Amino acid sequence: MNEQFEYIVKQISRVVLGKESQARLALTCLFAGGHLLIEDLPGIGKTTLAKVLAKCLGLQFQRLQFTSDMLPGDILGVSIFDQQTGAFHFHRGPIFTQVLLADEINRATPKTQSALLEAMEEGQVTFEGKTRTLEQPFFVIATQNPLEYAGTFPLPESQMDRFLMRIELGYPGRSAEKSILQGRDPQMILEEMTACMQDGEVCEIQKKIDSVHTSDAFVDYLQAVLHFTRTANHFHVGLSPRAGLALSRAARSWACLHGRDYTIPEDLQQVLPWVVGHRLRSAEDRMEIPRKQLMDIFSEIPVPL
Amino acid sequence: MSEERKYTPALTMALIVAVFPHTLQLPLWIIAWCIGLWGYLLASLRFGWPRPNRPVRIVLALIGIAGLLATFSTRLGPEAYIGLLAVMAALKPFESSTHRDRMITVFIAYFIIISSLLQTETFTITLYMFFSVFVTTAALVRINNPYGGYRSDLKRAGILLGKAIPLMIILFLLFPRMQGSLFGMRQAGQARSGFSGQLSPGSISSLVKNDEAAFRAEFKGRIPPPEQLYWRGVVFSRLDNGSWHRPERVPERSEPLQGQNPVDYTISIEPHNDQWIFALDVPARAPTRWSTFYRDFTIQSRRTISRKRRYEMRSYPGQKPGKSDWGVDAARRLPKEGNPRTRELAAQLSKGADNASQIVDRGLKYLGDGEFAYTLNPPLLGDDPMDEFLFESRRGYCEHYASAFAYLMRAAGVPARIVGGYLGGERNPFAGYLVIRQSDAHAWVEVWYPEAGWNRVDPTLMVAPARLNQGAQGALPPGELSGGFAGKYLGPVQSLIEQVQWGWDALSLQWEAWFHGYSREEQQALLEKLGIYWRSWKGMSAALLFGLGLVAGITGLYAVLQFRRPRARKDPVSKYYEKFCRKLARAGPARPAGMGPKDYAAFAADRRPDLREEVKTITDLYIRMRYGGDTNTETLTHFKNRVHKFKPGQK
Repeated sequence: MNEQFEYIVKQISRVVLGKESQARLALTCLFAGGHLLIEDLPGIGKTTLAKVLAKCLGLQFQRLQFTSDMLPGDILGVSIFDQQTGAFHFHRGPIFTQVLLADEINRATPKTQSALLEAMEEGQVTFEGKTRTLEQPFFVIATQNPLEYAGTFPLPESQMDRFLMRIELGYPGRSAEKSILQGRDPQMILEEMTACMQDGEVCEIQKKIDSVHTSDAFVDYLQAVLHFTRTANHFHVGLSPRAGLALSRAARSWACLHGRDYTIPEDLQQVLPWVVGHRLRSAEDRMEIPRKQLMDIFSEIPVPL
Repeated sequence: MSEERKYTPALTMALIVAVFPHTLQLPLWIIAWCIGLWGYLLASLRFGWPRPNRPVRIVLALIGIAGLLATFSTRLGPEAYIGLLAVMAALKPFESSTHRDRMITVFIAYFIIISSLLQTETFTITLYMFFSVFVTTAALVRINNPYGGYRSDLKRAGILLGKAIPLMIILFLLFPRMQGSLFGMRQAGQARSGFSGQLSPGSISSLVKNDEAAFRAEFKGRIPPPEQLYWRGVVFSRLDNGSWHRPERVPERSEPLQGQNPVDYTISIEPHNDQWIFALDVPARAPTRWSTFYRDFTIQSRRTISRKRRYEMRSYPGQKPGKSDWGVDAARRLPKEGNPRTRELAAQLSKGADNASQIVDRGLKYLGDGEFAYTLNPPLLGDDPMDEFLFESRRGYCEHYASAFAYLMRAAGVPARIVGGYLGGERNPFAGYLVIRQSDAHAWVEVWYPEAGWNRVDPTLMVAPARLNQGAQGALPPGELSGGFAGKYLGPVQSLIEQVQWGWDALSLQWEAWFHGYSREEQQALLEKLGIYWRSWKGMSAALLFGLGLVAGITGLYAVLQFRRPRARKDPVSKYYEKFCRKLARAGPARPAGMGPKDYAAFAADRRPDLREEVKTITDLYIRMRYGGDTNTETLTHFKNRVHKFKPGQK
């Protein structure tokens, strides 16, 4: 597992240079069966990362650029009257795929957003009274631009919660940027790339992650973290049990991808800032807490021996 | 409304429980006031009746204060103070909409509980105080945590009070003992004992119906026979306007009395708001530093006895007071005029008598032969009370006999004085101590013989010999003391009730011995044993610091134990890993609390590359067992051995 994972990470790093740790987190999130929110400025490589992830995992890929005039039907599909058969025929929307890149999700109206988010949560689409199950695995990688607020509909906190992780890419390092500037067009590499995984392998790995052992000691630590967020005065509202489950799943995924069939506190520490970053607000100004500060806060929580 | 329903019943309950012991002292209207207001409050919660708004509450408060002023006017004693608390406590739950109000209500309840101490300190009240503190604490828990049930409130209150017990014991042992009563106030329920500085007809018979204990005596050895159970209290030797007085100045007796067959005993005296100290006739010395032994063989406390006290005594019950001739002159004095017939009788008695004792015997014989009656209801006496009593009514209680006999003896030239105190006492069948009740109050006479000194004579016994063995109740004519009504109707239940009463009495005495026995003197002795000398301010602050230190120490210890408790349950894996971390911390970096084991291994290996392998092995073993679910005992043994052998050098 570990080797395969490292290989995928390496493949991704060929296209998205210098973003190895983000690639690891993104994979962890996807294998944990969670949806990923990438938040960063335009041109940093969000879309490329999403594409390369889909390609590496050998999954179907659909890209959807969100706009403010988009309707739920544009995502889920529409029924069109077929004159020959005299009946309505359902045309599947872009959501019927395995990896959906929802670009600039915050540009769509809340109604459209919630159509997507419901599908994410349920794994199925109900349209005109008929429920259609989405193919498994199904991932949504959504991106949003944190700086552009004009004409956007920021996701409410309850919907942010649907994303297992939220990561940022950030500017590439100096040497990575040099390679980007000197090297080949990443799009070219992407096209040449072959899938690292076969059909059904992703589901197998997901099953394996489900069976990762979480010991009492680990759950104690996880509970200490949850308790801390609920009692310490740093946060406006503490983490919910759903957030606790998300943490556990992300940590198990991380452990599995790093070749262990049990979780250790370090797994939790690795995923923690990315899992809770969009779920916690500062008690002072109800704003999000900067990543660095968040990590400092959590490093105070003692690991039970 | 629902908000209130969570708190108000609990608060009202706490107040009811706190005020309850005061109901006997409070005026009736205040009790009615409390019941009415609380009843209305609880009913309004139940049925949604309107609640008085602010103006109405102010008017009610003013009415309450007016009532208090009308009842107590300017007598600002403890009763007035408790009355004020009760009146306001009845109103307070009506304005408990904020947390602050509720907290104040709880503190009022605590305050009312403390004020019980102004009244009494009996065992029963003390037990009840524990109960009411418990209830009030439960109310305090409730207002701070309204979501638990009543059971959890009570449980938490119990836990809190349980934790407070060590603190209570330390404060009991070390808090400076106050001499006198709390807040320097006289205790309420004053003057229960009728003994005052004077003795006049009716002053003792008024006590007979009072069944309350005056004091209790625990004897070290056997209880002396009934004829020796004369408890000496006051000596009256100055006759003035028909009543007998204690002389204004009695000199102090410096040396203790010597004698044979001493009897040692401990007396627990009930507060009587006077200074008398009672002791078996004849006492040997003053029992404590806070009392004085006088030359008339009486003892007085320097302070008013306004709370229960215990003192150890020694007496020579078989002995006469002896040759001390102090007070003989005073014991001869008679008014120039009055009671001519008594003087005449005295002249007859003394005519031809060889010595004083013959006169005394003749006098006693006169009483014994003269159809005198022992009664609680003598007729009122006029201007020549001795004449009327001795020759006309011939009915009286012990003070009549004692005073008439002393007068007679003085008129006959024998120095005589009256001693007031108690006679007899009832033995507790369970604990074997004597209870001396107010109804045992008695007066007798001491006469002075030139050759033998003071000699006790009890003229009452000439009339009612049963007084000695059966107490006042046995000696009085049937029906005069209506105490025995229960015996007639309740039969066997009566004896059961008596048994319970005696048992409770014995328990209370034991409690008092323990609680009140720990006096200031005992405290000083304890502190001196601990090397703390009380009297200097240094010693005092040292004692307080010591006490506070002890409290802080115990609290700290408790906190440590609390903190360590999860560790105590830890399995060997954690224990050995902790050991490993300690060893590694001495040699390399310590583990930051928030760092996991794997990160710590890497962190330590960075600083101590030489230990990399060993640290990694041990950490991997630990992780396998702790997180990987490896429960193999061999792994554990291996791990233990590795930790044991792990010997990192110095940094």
